[in-house]
Amino acid sequence: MRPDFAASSNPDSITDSSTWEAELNLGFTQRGDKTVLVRREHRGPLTVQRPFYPEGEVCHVYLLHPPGGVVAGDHLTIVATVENDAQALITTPAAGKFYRSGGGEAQQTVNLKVAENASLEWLPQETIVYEGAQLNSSMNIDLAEHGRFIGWEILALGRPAAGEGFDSGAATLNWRISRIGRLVYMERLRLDAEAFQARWGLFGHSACGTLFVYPASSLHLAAVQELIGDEANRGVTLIEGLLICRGLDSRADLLKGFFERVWGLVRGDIVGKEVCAPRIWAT
Amino acid sequence: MVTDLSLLRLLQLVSPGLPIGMYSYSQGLERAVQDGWITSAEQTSDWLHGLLQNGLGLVDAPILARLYDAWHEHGITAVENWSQTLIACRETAELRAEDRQTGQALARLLVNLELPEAEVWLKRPDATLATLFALAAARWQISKADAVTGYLWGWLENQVLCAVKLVPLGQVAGQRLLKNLADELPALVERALNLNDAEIGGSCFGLALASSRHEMQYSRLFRS
Repeated sequence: MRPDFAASSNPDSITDSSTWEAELNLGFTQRGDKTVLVRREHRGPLTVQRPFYPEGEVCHVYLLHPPGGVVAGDHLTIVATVENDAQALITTPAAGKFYRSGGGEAQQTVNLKVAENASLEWLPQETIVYEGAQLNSSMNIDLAEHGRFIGWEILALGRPAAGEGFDSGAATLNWRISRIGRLVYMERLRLDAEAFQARWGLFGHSACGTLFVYPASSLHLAAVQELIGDEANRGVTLIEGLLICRGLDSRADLLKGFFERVWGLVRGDIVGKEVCAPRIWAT
Repeated sequence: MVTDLSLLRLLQLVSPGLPIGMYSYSQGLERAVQDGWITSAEQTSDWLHGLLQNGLGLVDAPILARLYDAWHEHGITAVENWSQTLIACRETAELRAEDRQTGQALARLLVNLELPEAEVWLKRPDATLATLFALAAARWQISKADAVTGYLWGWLENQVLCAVKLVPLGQVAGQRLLKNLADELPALVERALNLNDAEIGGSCFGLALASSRHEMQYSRLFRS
């Protein structure tokens, strides 16, 4: 499962030899005609590869979590700030994994800040929540008046291919999106065995996902509605310029494919670039 | 006999006859039925149970209690903050529009029922049903627990009426649902009144998805 890493760089924070606190703090600044990763501080096993520029100005970064999975007691914190006019895209090379808990909760906190005329794309690969995992995740997005953001979260509960459902375990997933310091959107999804099966929950679908786009218009809404057409289990809404797209599916890759198509529809207007899919997604 | 009068005021406030147009909102139920997610009384019961336990009980109920306290203490800033938080918890444009429209409609009614404080909320985009419901409850000496219970009851009765039309269900099946689901309310209210601020918040993925799909439903009877 996860390799037996040497102790974290901050042994004081470790309460149990098998759990980690890890923190990553990234800062992106516009220098000339490109965005530079000027701050990259980390503590514990959470880091980024050297940034690269497959499309010119936009700084692409891959988040790495060498243990390859999160267990009860781990606490990951990721902070990213995109300064004025800068453009960053953050993704991951592989699915995130939250393993079965023997007791206790794993926590993940992500704080993203997007300054004036800056854009941030937060496009991680899916997160696999193993049966029996206990997870608490908080996504906090703080947008300046003219900050731009595209972000998604794709969850795969249990491992249906391995015959595993989600009969035990619990994931609490928080999203808070603020603009100019004012709370625009707040969601707290609690997923457990009941919510996994229930019609008001995931109705037995092992993949669920939410995509956010800001600032979006009624034209974007209409375009995504047309893309959805008669397709089941896909929805989209627009509230105060925030486009929220939701989907359920039996497979996370199908949901990701749908979100990629939505991304393709809106990216030109939000980021000013055609879609440039990170190569790592294809591997 | 203040107690009796406050009971009558509460009955007036939660009556389906209250002219704020509640009957025109299904909160995603219309789409859930259209998509074949709900086809029976039992499935309706599961849906409403889930929404009560994971949505209203963690969002509307505790926020309504805070709005009630804020109106009692004349803390208009707190009223505004909790109204904004409630709106932020609404996952779709239709759910937000419903809250704004019914909140403003209740404001209009309350102005006519000699509650002049409601007047500034006639046009405010952050008006919610709970904001104005809490104002009326606070001024009409309805207790906080009764106000929260009444609000949840009003929601439940409206949803059951929608289900009777949409699923459809017989009138007696609807009343049976109402009676059984009402059994959940006392414990739900008690839990809601004991939540701390950090515990507020809840979402039902199926509701959010159904409501956003309702926004593009071609032929429909309801506004949400």
